[in-house]
Amino acid sequence: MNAENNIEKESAGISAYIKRVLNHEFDSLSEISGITNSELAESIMSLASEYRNSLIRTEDYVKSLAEEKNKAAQTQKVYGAMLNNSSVGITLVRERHFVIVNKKMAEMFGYDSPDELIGKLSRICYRSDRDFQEIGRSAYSTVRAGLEYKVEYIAKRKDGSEFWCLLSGKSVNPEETDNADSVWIFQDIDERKRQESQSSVIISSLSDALFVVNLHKKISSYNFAFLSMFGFNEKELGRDLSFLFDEKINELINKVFLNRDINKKTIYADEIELSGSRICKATATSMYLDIENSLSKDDYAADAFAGVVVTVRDITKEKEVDMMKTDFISTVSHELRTPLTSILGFANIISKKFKDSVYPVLNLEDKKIKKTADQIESNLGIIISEGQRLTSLINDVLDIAKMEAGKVEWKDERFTSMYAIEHAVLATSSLFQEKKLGIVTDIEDGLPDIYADKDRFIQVIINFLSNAVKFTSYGDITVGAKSFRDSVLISVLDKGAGISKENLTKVFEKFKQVGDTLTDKPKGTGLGLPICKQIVEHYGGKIWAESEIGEGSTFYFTAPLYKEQSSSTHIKDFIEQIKNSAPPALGYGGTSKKILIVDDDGNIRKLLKQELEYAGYITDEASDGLDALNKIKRKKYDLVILDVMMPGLSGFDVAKVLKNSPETMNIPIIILSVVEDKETGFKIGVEKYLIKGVEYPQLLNEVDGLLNKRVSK
Amino acid sequence: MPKVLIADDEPHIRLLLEQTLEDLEDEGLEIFTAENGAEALESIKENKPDMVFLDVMMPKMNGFEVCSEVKNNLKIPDIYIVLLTAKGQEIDKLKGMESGADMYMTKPFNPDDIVKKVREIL
Repeated sequence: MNAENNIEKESAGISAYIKRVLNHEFDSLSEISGITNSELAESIMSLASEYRNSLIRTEDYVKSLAEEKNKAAQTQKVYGAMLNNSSVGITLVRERHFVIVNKKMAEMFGYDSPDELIGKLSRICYRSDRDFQEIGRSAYSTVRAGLEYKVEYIAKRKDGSEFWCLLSGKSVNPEETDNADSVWIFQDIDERKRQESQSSVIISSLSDALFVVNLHKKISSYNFAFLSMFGFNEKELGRDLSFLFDEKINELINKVFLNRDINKKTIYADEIELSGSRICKATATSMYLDIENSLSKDDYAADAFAGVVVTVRDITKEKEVDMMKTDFISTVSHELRTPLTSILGFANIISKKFKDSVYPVLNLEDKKIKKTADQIESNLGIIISEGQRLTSLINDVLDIAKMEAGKVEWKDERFTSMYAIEHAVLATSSLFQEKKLGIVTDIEDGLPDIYADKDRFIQVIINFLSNAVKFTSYGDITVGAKSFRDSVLISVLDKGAGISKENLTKVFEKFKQVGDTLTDKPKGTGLGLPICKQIVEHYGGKIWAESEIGEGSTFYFTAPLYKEQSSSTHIKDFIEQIKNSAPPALGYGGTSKKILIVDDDGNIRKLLKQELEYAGYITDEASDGLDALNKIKRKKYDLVILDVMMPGLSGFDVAKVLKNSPETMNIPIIILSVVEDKETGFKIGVEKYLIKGVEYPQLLNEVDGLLNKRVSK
Repeated sequence: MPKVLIADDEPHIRLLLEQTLEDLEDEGLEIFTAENGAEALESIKENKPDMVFLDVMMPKMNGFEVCSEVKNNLKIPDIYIVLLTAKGQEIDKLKGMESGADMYMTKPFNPDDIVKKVREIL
C-alpha cells in the first residue's frame, strides 16, 4: 500500500514538474535547478522501476487474496456439506431465534427446508410454553457459565407430532458478553426411549428385586419389586448406599467394583436377611456397555464398565423346606436309634449278667436245664447281633437319604490313592485275617493326587474290600490304582464266586442282594454299593463291575483328581495339605491318642515314633523300665508299647507293675519283642504280644484296635 | 466318692446307663439322674458330679446348652462331660465340641465302652 502511495506521490510530483516545464515556468533549462536531462531521466527510471515492483507486489497480493478467497469458499463448501449431511440437527441460535439451521434439523422436525425455521423463535420446537420457558431458563444459565447443557425432552414437529429428543448446547463465545450466540444440537432418541421403556416394563414385571448401581455408587435404576421388598420410599434412593443397605449387600457391590477388571463374568452372591425374618439371596454382577458402542476391541474393556446390577430373591420358603429335610433326617435318626439303644443295651446287660451270675449257679448236670441255659445264651446273642445289624441298616438308610437330599457335607481335601488304599486296607484287615485271605496292592507310580471327601472315598474302597472278602473263600484280593484317561481308576479284584451277567448292574441297586434268597442268607444291608454309587457319582465318576461266574469279580471306580485352582482356594488347600500330612488318629472326639514307646534301642524307638506319628498319634519315648514308669506316673497315656529285653527292669516287670495298679491297669499294653514268651505276657495281662519284625500296618492295626475297639463296617 | 450324673429324658436309657454302671456302684460310685436339661443343671450345681452323661435332645434345656453353661458360665472345669446322642451328623459333633464337651458318643453305644470310660476318668 505504501508503495502505491509513494508511486502516487512521486508520479504526482513528476506530472506537476512536467506541467511546470510545459508552462514555461522555467525560463531557461539552467533555471531547473541542478536538473540535467540525464538526471531527469535517471529519476524517472528509478521511479518507473519502483512503480513496476510495487505493481508486481500488488499482483501477488491480489493473487494470494484470490487464493484465500478460494480456500475460504472451499471450506465453506465443506462446512456446508458437514452441516447439511449431519445425522443430528445443528442450529445456531441468537436470542432464542434460529440463525443457522441444517438440513437434518428441518427433516427431524418435519419441515421442508431449513429456511422454514431460520428467523423463527425456537418455541416452535417445544410442545408447551412451560417446557420452552423451563428448559430455556436452565439451558441459558448453564451455557452462559461456559458449560455444556444437556436435556432429554419431548419435542414437537411441524405437524404437531411429538418425539423424544436429546438437546445439547454450548455458548459460542461465553467471554463476549455481547455475543449471545449458542450452538444447539438436536438428536432424535425416540427409538432408544421406546426400547428402554420396553426393558423397563420387563424389569418392572420381575418378581425379583432388581436395581442398578452406577459408577457414582448411587442407585440409577430399580423395579417395583425392589421398592416393595426393601420397603423403600422412592425419594430415599438418592442416599448413599451405606445408609440404604446393611453390610452384606454393600460388600457384594464393592466386590464387583473391585474386581471389574479381573473377573468380568463373575457373579457374586450371598444370603441376606431382611425384616420379618425373610431370607433372600442377593446376586451382584458387573454391567458393561454395549460391545458395539465401546471404543476398545476387547470384549469387556475396562472403560466400558458401567456399574453393578443386583437382583434379590426371597428364598425363605426354600430355606424352610431345606430345614425340614434336615430336621426330618435328624428326627428319624433319633427316633429309630433310641429304642434300638435300649434293645441292644439291655440285651447286653442281660447276657452279661446271665453269664456271670446265673449260668455258674445252674445245675448243668440236668440236661434240660443245660439245654435251656445254652438256648438263652444263644438267643441273647441273636438279639444282640440282629440289633447291631439293625443299627447298620439305619445308618446306611440315613446315609443314602442324606446323600439323596443333598444333605451330606462333603469335606473335600487333597490326598493320594496310596493313602486312601492303605487306610481302607487297615480298616478291613481283621476281616481278611478272620478268613485267612491275603491282600495285595498294585499302585502305579506317579499317580496324580485325588481331591474328594477322604472318609467317603475310603468308605468306597472299604466297601469293595468287604464285599470281596464276603464272597471269597481263599486266595488273594488285589487292590489297584492306575492312571485311566484323565482320572485315576481304583479296582478291587477277587477270585471268589463271581457275579452273573444279569446281576452285574443290579448289584448297585438299593436293597438288591446277590444270591438265592432262600439259601443264601443276606448279610449286610444291601445299601453298601448304592451308597458307593452315590459317592462316586457325586464327583462325576463312574462305578462298575466286571465278573465271570466261578472266576471272581473286579469292581472299579474312577476318582476325581486334584486340579490347580485360583489363589483363594490355594490357601484352603494348603491348610488341608498341612492337616493331611498329619492325619488325625481315629478316636472319639478327635483328640489324638498318646502312646508311650519303651525300648532301649534308640533306632527302634525312632522308627516306631515315625510310624505312629504319621498315623496321627502323639508319642513319647522311654529308654528303660524305670524311665517308663516315671513317665507314666506323670502323664496319662492311652497305650504303651513295651520291649522285653531292657537293662534294669524288664518289660515284663514294667507290665506287672502297670497291670497291678488301679490307675494304670486299664492302659492297654502291647509287648513288642524278639523274645517269644507269650505265656508270661498274657499271664501278666498284656493285651497283645507281637514279635519284632511284624509289619507296620499290622502293628498300627493292633494299636488302632486297642484304642478304639471299632470294627470296620 | 466319685459321682456320676446321668441326664436323659428317656427313662429306659437312664435305666440302661444305671444298670451298666451297677458294678461300679458296688465299688463306691454314686449315681445321680436327671430327666431334663434344667434338672441336670440343678443337679450339677448341687451334687457336683465328677462325670456327666448328657443326652443331647432333652426338654427344657438341651445337652449342648447344659454343657455350654457348665463349661463356660459356671466354670466348673473338672467335670468330664460326655454328650450322648442318636444324631450322628458331623455338624452335631462339631456343635458338641464347641459347647465344650469332653466326649461325644452316639447311640447305640457299647456298654463296655461306657464302663471303661468311667473307670478311666474316675
